[in-house]
Amino acid sequence: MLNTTNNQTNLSLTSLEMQQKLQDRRVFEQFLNKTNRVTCDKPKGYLVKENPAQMFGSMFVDIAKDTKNLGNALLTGKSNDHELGRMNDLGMKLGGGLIAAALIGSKSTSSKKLMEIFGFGTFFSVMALWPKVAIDLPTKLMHGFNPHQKYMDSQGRKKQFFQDNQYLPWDVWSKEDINKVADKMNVPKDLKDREEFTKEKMRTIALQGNTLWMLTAGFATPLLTSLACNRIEEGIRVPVANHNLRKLAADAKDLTGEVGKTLGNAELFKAQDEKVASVVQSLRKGVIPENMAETLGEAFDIGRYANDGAIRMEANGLKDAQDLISRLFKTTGSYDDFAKAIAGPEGDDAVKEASELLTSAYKSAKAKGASDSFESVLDFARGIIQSDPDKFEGKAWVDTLFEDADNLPEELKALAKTKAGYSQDTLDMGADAIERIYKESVKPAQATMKTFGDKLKVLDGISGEKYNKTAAKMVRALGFSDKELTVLRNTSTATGETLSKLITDKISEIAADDKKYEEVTRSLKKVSDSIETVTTKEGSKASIKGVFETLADKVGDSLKALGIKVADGADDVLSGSTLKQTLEQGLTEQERLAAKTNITSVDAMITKLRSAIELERKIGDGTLIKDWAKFAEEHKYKGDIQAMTKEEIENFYNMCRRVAWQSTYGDAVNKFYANGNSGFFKTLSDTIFGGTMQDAEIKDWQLRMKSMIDGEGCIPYPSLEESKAKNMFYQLRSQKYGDSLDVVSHLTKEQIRELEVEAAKAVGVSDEVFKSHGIRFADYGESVLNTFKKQINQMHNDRRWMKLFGGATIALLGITFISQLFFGKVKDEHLYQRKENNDTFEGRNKNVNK
Amino acid sequence: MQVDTAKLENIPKNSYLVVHKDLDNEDHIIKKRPTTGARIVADKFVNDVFSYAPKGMTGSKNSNFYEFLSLGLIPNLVGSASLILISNALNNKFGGRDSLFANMNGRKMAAGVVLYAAGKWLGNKIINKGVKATTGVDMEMPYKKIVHELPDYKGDPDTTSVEFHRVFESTDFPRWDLINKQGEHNNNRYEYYDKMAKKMGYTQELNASDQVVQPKIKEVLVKSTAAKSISSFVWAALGVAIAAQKPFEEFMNFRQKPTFTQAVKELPKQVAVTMKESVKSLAKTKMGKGLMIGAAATSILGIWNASKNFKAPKENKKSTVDYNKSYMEF
Repeated sequence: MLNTTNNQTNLSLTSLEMQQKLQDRRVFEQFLNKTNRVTCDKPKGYLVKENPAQMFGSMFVDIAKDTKNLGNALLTGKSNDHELGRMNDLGMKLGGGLIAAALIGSKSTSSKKLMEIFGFGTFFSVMALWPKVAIDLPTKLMHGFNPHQKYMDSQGRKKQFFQDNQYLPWDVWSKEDINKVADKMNVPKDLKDREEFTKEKMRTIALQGNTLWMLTAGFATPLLTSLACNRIEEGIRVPVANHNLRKLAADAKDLTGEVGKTLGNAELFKAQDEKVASVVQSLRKGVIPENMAETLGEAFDIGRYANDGAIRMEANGLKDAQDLISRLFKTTGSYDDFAKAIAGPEGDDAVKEASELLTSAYKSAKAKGASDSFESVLDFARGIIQSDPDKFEGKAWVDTLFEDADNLPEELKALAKTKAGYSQDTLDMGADAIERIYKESVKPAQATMKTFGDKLKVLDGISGEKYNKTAAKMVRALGFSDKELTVLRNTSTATGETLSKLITDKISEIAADDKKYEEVTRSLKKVSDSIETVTTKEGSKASIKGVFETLADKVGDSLKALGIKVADGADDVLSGSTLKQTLEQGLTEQERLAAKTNITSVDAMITKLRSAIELERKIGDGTLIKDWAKFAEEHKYKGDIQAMTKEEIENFYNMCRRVAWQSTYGDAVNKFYANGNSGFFKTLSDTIFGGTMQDAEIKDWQLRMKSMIDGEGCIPYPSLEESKAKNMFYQLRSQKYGDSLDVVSHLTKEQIRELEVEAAKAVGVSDEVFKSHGIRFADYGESVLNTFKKQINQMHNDRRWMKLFGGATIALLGITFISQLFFGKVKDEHLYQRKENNDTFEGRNKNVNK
Repeated sequence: MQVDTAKLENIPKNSYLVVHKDLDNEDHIIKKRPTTGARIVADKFVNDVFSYAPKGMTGSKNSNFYEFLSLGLIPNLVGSASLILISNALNNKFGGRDSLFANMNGRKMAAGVVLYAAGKWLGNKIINKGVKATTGVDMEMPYKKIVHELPDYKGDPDTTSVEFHRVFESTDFPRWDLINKQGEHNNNRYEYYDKMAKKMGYTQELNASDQVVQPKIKEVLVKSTAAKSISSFVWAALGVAIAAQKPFEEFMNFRQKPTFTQAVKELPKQVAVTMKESVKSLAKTKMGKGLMIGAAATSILGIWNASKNFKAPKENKKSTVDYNKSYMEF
């Protein structure tokens, strides 16, 4: 346009005019430029360069920004694609947090709960870290730039530079930065299109990196998360268990607060509170409710809230309630006493008939709106008899009813003035007593037991965590090599025999070698010390057993402190009941032991292994066979060792091993007694556990086991019947459901109970024998053989899992890294080969020449 | 740019200039059938494997953002499969009790993964359907996009590729042009906007319905997308929580393998019963109740919030021109 104008003026104007025109024109142009000029704003975008600390910080800033944007979008409906996209990430984090929170509730132990949070955190961390470590880092090292480089756009939105392969705003990169990358990539310095070539290379590499990220993330995130979580869980288990133990030790010292909390839990006691209230209310109104004993029975059960399995109370709420009611009201039914008085010596049937008659007379009196006093009821009863005389023909008590009712003892007649056959005073007194006993004794006792049960559950969890750790250390302490473990694992699935032989060999090998024996004993003791006890804040030691004892003492004390206080002169209403007994004596030894044995004692497991080694030593130096001779003589068994063949001796040793560590005591006792060999078994146990012993600790433990077997301790001998019933139970179970573990472990409580009753019936004993089998057959820990079996299997499985998925992870890493070596090959690379001082297009020439 | 018309005439008739007049080779809205969504996902997946991933790995210039986003399907699928595999692949090799317990946990994990996806899908679906019912805005309206690529080599005949987008996937740039084009097919460019205006409550026909409707639709899009980004994940969490319930655990650990006919007959019923029982058992916990209420509330509030401002003002304002004011023409 300018040219045209100039041309035109050139033709007709003088130079002065031309000068003026030009002057005007300049002024006009200036005016135009200042007023109407439309230009782009200068771009304000820049590359974001952050160090890891800043990156971590801006993560939170971004979350805050996203949250603000979300609120804004929801309220105003104004947002943009970039912000909306980021909100999705926000939602994902929120959802992850919610999942962790929801799953925490379904986990029982605190380390598992903790793992939900770690798992959630790890998953998101791995998701974020994988591209950084596996793709960004190698690219940075090889090519000098970050394919996830972020930049701030002119609108202040942080974006990834290489996200869209077809939209790369290169102007945020400075020439220096690109040349630096080019240097790192070894792009020749004399290339004319050096920058363009580098950019193209960067684009290619970033696109390849992004694609590789998408292809690998699906494998990497779950794999690395589970590998990391395995490590983390392994690491936190014992510290968490120790922490819990410390906390429990502190709690155990004063249970009052905890019990108070449980007592204050209205939801927990709601149902039984209502039951008691309904009974009391109805008594105060002068009516004895139907099924009063049954209603109260549930509310009066002290063992009710003790957690199943953790502690069993031998309390009987129904019986206690029945006792209480019959003592309070001297009878169990409303008209029974009168029925008895009227029926006289005629017998139970007459009493029943009379009682029924009186009750229905009372009902019809009420229904017809007549007075329900005893006289009135009596009149109605007479009416009923007169309306159907044939039915009551020839019954002596009917005569009494008509003729002598007025001659009944005054005492009864006085009571009869009330509606239910009792004076309102009696009913009120009963209501008071029930209310008071429930409120002051039963409920606090239940709260105490519930608290105890809950604490035991925690203790059980702690014990379980420590058990796993201990078992692994035990296997390691015996010094099994990986190769041996594989052999053991493979044989353990084949036959138990081989496995026990292999372990026996190992143990006897240790026992035979004094140096090894010392070493193993020391390391086992160390395991025991480190595992069982923790140092509390105050510096004292706390152990699982110690905490249990404290808890049981405290619970016993608080039960005793509760006692039963009823109104003066009525304190004997509960004499002889389990309720009163429990409150007077606290926990019984049996209950204590049952609870204790339910909590697997970790150190018992180690002592048992040490005892097994001890037995091998006794076999090795011949003490065992000498002991047998000694005890056999005492028990009048043939102890003539000279007469035993080598094979017989070996069999004898194996029998001792079976009792000592290859099976549990429960099983051993059961087996010998079921076969009627109780006497022999006593001798055998004397030999195994009663002989010469050096280690005081083991001796102490073995004596405990012996006393258990001898029935001197708290766990009594199983009777022959019980053993038979138990065997029958297993027989029936396998007949009915087969031996598949899958099925057997899914049996419901009802199904098991049904089997128990059936088994008891089959061998002709009361099914009560099953009720206490948990106590009777309980054992300290499990058999050494079983521990090893489980542990070896576990180790093997862990290794197998690790081999596959650890291997997969390594392979994935390898593929990811190696494939990046081939990145960055630009297509038509020859087109960029024009040299700085040579304008000819080398590449094109080549092409043309072709 | 100077155009050499002589050269232009030499371009063969079937070149891109001509071919594009055919509607099928231009971007266009496609009809939505119940299976359309699944077909699009299947198309994306097949292309991910056979086209987008190879293109990306070779650094092709034609790789675009759509392909990158489509590739996001792979980590989702592979990740879910890996999660299930990690906790299940070896379980039967563990032997005895260990296998049993490993299977219990593994199957629980599998149920969790599946229900997570189901929950997320449902959360999105509810808001989509709800918003469509209340406002008529169909956020899932699909269109087919024809992309013209650079030739990979000299004489490359395969330079078009098909992508499936949603008309409203971008709130910044919804594809109004496609809506207009669809209207033009029916001889009314404003067909869609008129319909929407009616839905909004304008009784009279508007002079420029697009001017009224477009900003409102944008608002609905922003609000419902924001709501979905929260709600769908609350639903996903609810799914996982349901999968963690006892009835579901029992369902996943079925003892006997059913025959095929049994499975077909019984499975839907069993799933329904299990879901019902699981929801019941979840409702007993505080957290479970919270999740359920949260999921329902985010959905309902999301739909309400998106549609509350959509209706036309009750009194239609009449616009008049003030003739006393001057106007300028440039």
